Amino acid sequence: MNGPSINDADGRSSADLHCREMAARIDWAVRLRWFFVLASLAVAFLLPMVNEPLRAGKCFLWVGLALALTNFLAQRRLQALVVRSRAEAGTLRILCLVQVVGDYLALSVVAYALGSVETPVMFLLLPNCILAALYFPPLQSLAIALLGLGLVLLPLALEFVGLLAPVIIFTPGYREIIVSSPLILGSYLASLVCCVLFCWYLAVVIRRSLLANEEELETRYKQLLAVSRQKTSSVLHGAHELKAPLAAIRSYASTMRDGYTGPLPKKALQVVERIGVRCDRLLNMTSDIIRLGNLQGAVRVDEVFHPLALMPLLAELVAEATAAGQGREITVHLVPPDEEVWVLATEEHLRTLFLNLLLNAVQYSRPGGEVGVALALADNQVTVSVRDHGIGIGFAEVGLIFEEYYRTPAAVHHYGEGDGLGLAIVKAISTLLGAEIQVSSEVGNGTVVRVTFATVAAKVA
Amino acid sequence: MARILIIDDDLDVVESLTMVLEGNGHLVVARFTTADLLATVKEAHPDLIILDVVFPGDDQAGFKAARLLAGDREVQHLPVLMLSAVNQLSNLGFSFSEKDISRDFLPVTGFLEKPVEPACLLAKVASLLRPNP
Repeated sequence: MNGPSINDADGRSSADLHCREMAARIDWAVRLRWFFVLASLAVAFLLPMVNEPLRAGKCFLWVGLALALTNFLAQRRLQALVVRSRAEAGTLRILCLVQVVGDYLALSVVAYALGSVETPVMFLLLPNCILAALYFPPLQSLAIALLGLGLVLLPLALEFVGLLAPVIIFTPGYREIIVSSPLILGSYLASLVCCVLFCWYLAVVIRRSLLANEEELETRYKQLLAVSRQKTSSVLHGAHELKAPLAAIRSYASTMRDGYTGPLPKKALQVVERIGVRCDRLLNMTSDIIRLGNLQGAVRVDEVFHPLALMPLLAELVAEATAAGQGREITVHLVPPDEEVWVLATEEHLRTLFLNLLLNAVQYSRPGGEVGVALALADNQVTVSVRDHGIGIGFAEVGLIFEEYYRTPAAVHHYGEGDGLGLAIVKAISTLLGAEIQVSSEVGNGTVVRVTFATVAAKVA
Repeated sequence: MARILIIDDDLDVVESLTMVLEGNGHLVVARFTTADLLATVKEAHPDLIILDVVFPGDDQAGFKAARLLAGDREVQHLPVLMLSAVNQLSNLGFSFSEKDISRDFLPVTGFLEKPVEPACLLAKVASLLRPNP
């Protein structure tokens, strides 16, 4: 027996979503960094060709190689975290911090190699300041921004105290003009510091606003989910409440039909039989409403999927569909594959899915028609196709048939007893099982429904 | 013919089951609650008990009653046929079948889903009343 448990919202916490977003952003930064790796290596090889100092070329070479190595390691680490679905905010922040500091160090070397103040290359620390401000609390991101400033200005400071020999790469004398004038040097440094602080402040404000919006969206989303759950729960409650009285009416109808209340006139017997048939339809409909409500998440069962052999189940369901089509001489064939096929599912879900498809194929076939079931194996996948030669579905309607209560006018005309929920249930089950459904159909010539599953190894006895 | 105790809160279901069973020569005793269950059973001396699952105020009264019966030496030998209209998993019901029958978990002898066709009910009752080989 399975006990019920209510699904808690979307099943994912907002922290998970934050982590996934942060992981995606870090992944994006890692990919972007490959561009800088290539650029560094290209510059390393091009600089010696234009007779620039060999030292600058070597700097770029080392920077390129160091960036490539750290980037490769970061990418591996990130992939491992994502694959294990264990990307925690703390781990991701550390990964981000290591990358940012690594970038600052690389930038510091590049800034020195390009002549410290001769180029505006130091300003390249801004993207990382912004990145840090988006993903770290304000004070931490400020510390990171100041650390970046310190690191990129370190070569200049070392040049001042004579621990590093200055590199002159472009115009001779240009560096002296800047360095010898406190006003120009001060303006240069002040503009750098102001830019960093301004970008940091802007990013912090944007982050705060984004977080507020996100919180609001999350609250609204949870409210919507609660309303949706309440609605589905009400429908389920109503459906359940209907089942007991309907069962009682059906029992009375059967009792009267079988003569337990005394003999009935022919007309009365016909009426009682019709009452029974209509009761059955209502009972089926309430069962379908409950089944769909459960599948759509109003009730979540901790289901465990097991490897199941498809052929025995399909053979059983084909026999059932054959019996259903016997009155109209509809035949149902199953073409077995060369080997047994196993998929990950529960028997109940597979049974409901394929029985719905097979009964649909039978119901919408013409008298004397044929229904074919075939399995095709390819690339660790199995596609089960259910083909009929019945009334078919119009091109514009194919996209609508999985919607709840939708029935094409031709379907209603051909078979009036459907409740329009069968294919919605099929769709919900296939989503749950990770299967794909494709429908191809032609009005008047029939329909093929293909369901594709990933196959699994046979069940171990 | 057998003496059958029906325990179900739905008067209409009891009435229709009674008509079918009495129409086939069985003697039916009906109760509409699981209160004083053991005393009721011991007093009625049934050959078979037909038991509903959901009762007003307790969605699992039928399960509890089945376990109570299974735990009493005097009545645990009696076959119990469980009937339910709400055999579908949701926040209001349960999903079970004859596969779930077990001495510890669901100690009943048979299970049928309402509505029950008269022929199906009679066949089930006959099979449960048949002495074990």
